[in-house]
Amino acid sequence: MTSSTPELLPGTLFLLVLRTLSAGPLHGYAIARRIKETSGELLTVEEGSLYPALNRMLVKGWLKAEWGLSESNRKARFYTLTRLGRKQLEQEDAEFRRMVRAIELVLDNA
Amino acid sequence: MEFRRKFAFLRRRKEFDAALTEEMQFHMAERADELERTGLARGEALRRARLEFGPAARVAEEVRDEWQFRWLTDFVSDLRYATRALRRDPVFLAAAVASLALGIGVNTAIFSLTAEILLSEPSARDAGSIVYARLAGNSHIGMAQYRFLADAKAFPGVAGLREDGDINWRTGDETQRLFAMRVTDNLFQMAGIPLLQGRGLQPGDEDSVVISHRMWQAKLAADPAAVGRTLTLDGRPHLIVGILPEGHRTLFGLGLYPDLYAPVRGAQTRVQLYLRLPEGMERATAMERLRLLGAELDRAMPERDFKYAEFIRLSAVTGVSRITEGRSLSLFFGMLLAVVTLLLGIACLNVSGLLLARASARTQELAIRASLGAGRGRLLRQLMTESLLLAILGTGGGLLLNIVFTRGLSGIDLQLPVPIIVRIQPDWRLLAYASILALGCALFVGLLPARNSLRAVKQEVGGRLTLRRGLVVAQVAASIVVLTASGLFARNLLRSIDADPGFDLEKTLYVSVRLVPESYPDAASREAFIDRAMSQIQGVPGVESAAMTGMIPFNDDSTHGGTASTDINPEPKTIRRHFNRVGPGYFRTLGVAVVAGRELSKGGVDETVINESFARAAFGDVPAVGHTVRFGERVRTVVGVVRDSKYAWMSDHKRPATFERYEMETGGSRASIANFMVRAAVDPETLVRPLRLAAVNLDPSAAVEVKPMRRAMGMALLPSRVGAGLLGIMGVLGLLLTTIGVYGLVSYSVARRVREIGLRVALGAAPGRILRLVFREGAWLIGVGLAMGLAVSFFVTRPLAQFLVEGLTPSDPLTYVAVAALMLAAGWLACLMPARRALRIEPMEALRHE
Repeated sequence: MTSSTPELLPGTLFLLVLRTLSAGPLHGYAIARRIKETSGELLTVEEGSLYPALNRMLVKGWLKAEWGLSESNRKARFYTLTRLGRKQLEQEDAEFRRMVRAIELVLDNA
Repeated sequence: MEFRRKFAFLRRRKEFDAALTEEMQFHMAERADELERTGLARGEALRRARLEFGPAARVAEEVRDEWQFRWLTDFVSDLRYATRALRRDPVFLAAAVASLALGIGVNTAIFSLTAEILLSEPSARDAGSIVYARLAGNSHIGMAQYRFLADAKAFPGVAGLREDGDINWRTGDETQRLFAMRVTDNLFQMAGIPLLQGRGLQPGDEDSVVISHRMWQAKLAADPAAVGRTLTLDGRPHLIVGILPEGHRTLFGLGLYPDLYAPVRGAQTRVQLYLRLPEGMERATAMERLRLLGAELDRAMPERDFKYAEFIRLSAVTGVSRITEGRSLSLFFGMLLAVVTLLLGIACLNVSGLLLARASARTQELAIRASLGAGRGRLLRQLMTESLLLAILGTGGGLLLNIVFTRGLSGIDLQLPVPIIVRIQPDWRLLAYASILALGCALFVGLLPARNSLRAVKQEVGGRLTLRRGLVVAQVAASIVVLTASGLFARNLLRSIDADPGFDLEKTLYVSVRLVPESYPDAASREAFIDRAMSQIQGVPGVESAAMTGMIPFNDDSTHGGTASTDINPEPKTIRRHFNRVGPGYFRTLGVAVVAGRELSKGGVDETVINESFARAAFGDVPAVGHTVRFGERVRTVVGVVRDSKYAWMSDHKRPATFERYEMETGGSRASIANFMVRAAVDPETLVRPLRLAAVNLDPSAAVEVKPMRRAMGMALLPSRVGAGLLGIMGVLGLLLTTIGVYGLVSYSVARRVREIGLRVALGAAPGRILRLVFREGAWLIGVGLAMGLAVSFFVTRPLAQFLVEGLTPSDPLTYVAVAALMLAAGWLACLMPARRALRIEPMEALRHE
């Protein structure tokens, strides 16, 4: 954890997790890893917020969880996107992009 | 969906926690693997991974939070908090729970009783589609008419029932009179009555009976081979084909519980008509169908006085709609429920007062919670949780008391001429009712104190004592209302016992002989029996005189509602009157004065004796003797006028009555019963055995009952007895609770004024002044409450008039004076202890107080 790590924008954790899982089922640790890797080590998801978020999404029915074996041959809990989750991803994705574009517009032109 | 998932979580908490731990372990292990790959030793890698993960317990807590119902966890923590708070104050807890338990116990007991008597479901399949039908407004119809209606097949089921019948059971040398319900042979199938053993009555059954559980247990020693046994009933062997289960309830309802069911015998019997309606048929459609059927019946068997197609009524045998039948019964229970609700209110006010007193001690605690960020709503919810907990505990205790009370109520022997068994068992209705009560109590008890506490937190102090005073005044007022009602019933009972029934209670007995109908098939044999019986009874030493009667006073009743006209006033007038058939010497035997003319003679078919009220109604001031009265088609000559007396009820007041020549009835419920009134020259109790023997000797197959009239007043005194008993208990309870309330408040106010009183004593105030200080507080509370209570009672006790004997009105001054005196005495008692405490205050100590 370096001090140069930017804070996650509020509300984006769900979006990042959903997007990460859209490629296929992953366990919690792998989700955190993948986000870190794909963000070029810029974004770190803390465990203290990852697991509550995963569970919130389970409650909402966006994710499903199943036990399986990890590459290291340990029992791990794999999360899969549900149909509801996929819809949620599309929606949040579009919304987020629109928002970013709008912020960019303001930043560029104001 | 979310709800369902969360709910599933609730059920699998343990597994969930285990899985979560495993998942977090896995996370740390993977991280340690990665760190190991960078060259760290395994142990160090694990340590680092754990450190990075942070406090696992907190993460787990946050994860769990996602799954929990917020309000539920809040509620659970409130409940935990309330439990702790209550446990710290056991005296308060005990006082509050005891008050509520008492209030709820009495309330639910009366509710159970009411529900059982007015709302009980008969034991039948789909009782909701069975109705009790009346044609021409008559409660019963003849068997011929019944058959006509049944044969029309207009309804899926038609059956008849005669609710009051006797049957003689010969066992060994004894003949017992059993209470039999006579039913048409299809009734069991039509109604689908469940049985414990054997089968129900079936079409074609003649000498078969189904016996009750109680008969089986008590009279047949629970013989396992009872089904298949024969009983000698009315001189003929009857086969027991079935036994009813213990909880059997008849279609007739009201707790009437026969010893056995037997098929209707003879064409004379008149039965109640029960119909099973087709599924989904509207009441109005059924009425119309029955009306058409009635019209057909009118064509086939025309009646002179009425039409079957008119005044058709259908009433449910289950549920609330049957209540409309017995209006005064419903009113009585309505009154009881109102009284117990008041009583519960008094109990709640007690608890409210206690909570308020406690609240002053807790202001600080609440203020701290508020400053720590608890919102108003959150605090309110927390305080209400406490009263809810109290209410739940109180309801629990109340339900236990309910069981005790209802056991007691079920066990009371009402000494009625017919067997009535009230079997009260806790059921879902009681639970539902108790839950509503608990919620209501929690709100009632908690809301005012809680709001007051919240205001105190916001520094708007004051008003608490005023509020408490208001509560106690309300308590006193409510308790006055309860006391007035119970006082009226108590006075009523005393009056009823002392009341002059208009005949000689102390010297008379009745002898009731039920004959086997088949042994006396014609009028001649019946008359012969009566002649023999009269001479036997009159021959018993100590008997002064004896006379036949159709009805035994206070045990039977019959009201005729038809019209009467006289030779001097031919305009027919509707006079509701008591009617009885009596033998010569009846009035002399009972000690009823004949004010004009003479008694009925033995052969006087066209004679009638009327009482003074009837004479006044029919003839006005003209002396009636010698004139004639016309009842419909029948014309009777008045041979005598007798003094008014009570006939069936103590509340009979100036009730018109007419008497005609004795004749034994051959149909209906009083068929083949010969009743004799006997006037004793000695103590009537000593004549019971000899009279019994004399009657048994006449016909061993007859069932004989002998009782002095003094002991035979069950029915007459029932309303006043039940009323006085139940309301008396409630009056005492209400007074007790109120006394505790007054005591609590006066003690509290003395405690608050310790410094002031100490100062006064120090300044030389005499003990009398101090006492006045304390008693003034109590007197003020009682005075205001008393005035309000008496004023309210004056209006709300009006409807009780119909239960009171003549001469006693709901505004009976003596009752009001007694109630006021009682309340003042109770108030004085309540002030006594605090007053003594006030006197014992040491000035020096008091000044150091606080």
